[in-house]
Amino acid sequence: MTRYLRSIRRSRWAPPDWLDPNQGDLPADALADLHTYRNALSVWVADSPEDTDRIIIALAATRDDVQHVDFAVFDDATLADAGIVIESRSGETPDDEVNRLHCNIERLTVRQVAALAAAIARGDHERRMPGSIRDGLTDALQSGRLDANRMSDRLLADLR
Amino acid sequence: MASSIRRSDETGAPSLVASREDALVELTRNLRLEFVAAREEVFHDGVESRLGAAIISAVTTEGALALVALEEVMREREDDVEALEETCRQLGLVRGASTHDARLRLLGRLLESPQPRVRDAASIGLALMRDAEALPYLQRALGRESQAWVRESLALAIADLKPRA
Repeated sequence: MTRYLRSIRRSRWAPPDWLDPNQGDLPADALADLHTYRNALSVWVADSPEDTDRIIIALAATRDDVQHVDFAVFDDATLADAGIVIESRSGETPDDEVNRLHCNIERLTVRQVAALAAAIARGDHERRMPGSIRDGLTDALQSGRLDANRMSDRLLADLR
Repeated sequence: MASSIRRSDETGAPSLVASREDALVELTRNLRLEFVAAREEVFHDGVESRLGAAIISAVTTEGALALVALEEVMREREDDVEALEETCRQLGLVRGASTHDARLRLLGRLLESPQPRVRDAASIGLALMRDAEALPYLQRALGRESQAWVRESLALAIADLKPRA
């Protein structure tokens, strides 16, 4: 079983008071985290806590400010049943190791997006706060894991 | 949002919008329009939004007056949760010492919002400000918070703002 990571806004997945959590449904605002482009969505293979940490810092390195990162880690147990195909595609972060962990879920249908939403809802939803992101970015720059030439000047200035 | 408030120039010519009240009315109107437009926006962390740019522009150029206008608009539109969340995050990202304390107090008040998602976003905004002065607001909010997931957010923000060993 493979574990995947996708950046989300954790609050969109929290059960609102008008929705019975036992109903097995989700608030529709969660769909904002599953906005497709060319019928595809981006995910990352996150089979270990070390991979997860490195992916989070690589994602944070693509931004203009040091910010928190919300994300979900979920498994692929039910995705094949829904006919969801995940294909390896190089990512575009300043960390080339992390870029190898990037995948696209392609040729997605509306029904498959709903199945993916259910898988994400069952997964672990986490938040890394700005302070730990700052520390992680600084460490990754110092160790050479991040290529500063592919990071924004504003973010680099913020880290100095 | 380009500010439409015109001020006295260096020659001392009279301003076209002289009073603070007029300026506040105009700022409130402009921010209200941005919130209406935001209903069509999809917000993503780390991606600049039109609403976010408008808030940063207003607060940077108009200072504390923009925060008064912003709080009024947020009160009017208390059900626009996505826009309110975005506002909280942007308030934490604004750079500028002149509004720092007022932004911190505003985010502290937003921790009392009836909307759990806004309380969560206010905790993020305060963490983004990197100021331990936010800790009493967060600790009081943690003591009264009814939603487990928001309690977790508040605890994370508190831990993030505490001095590191």
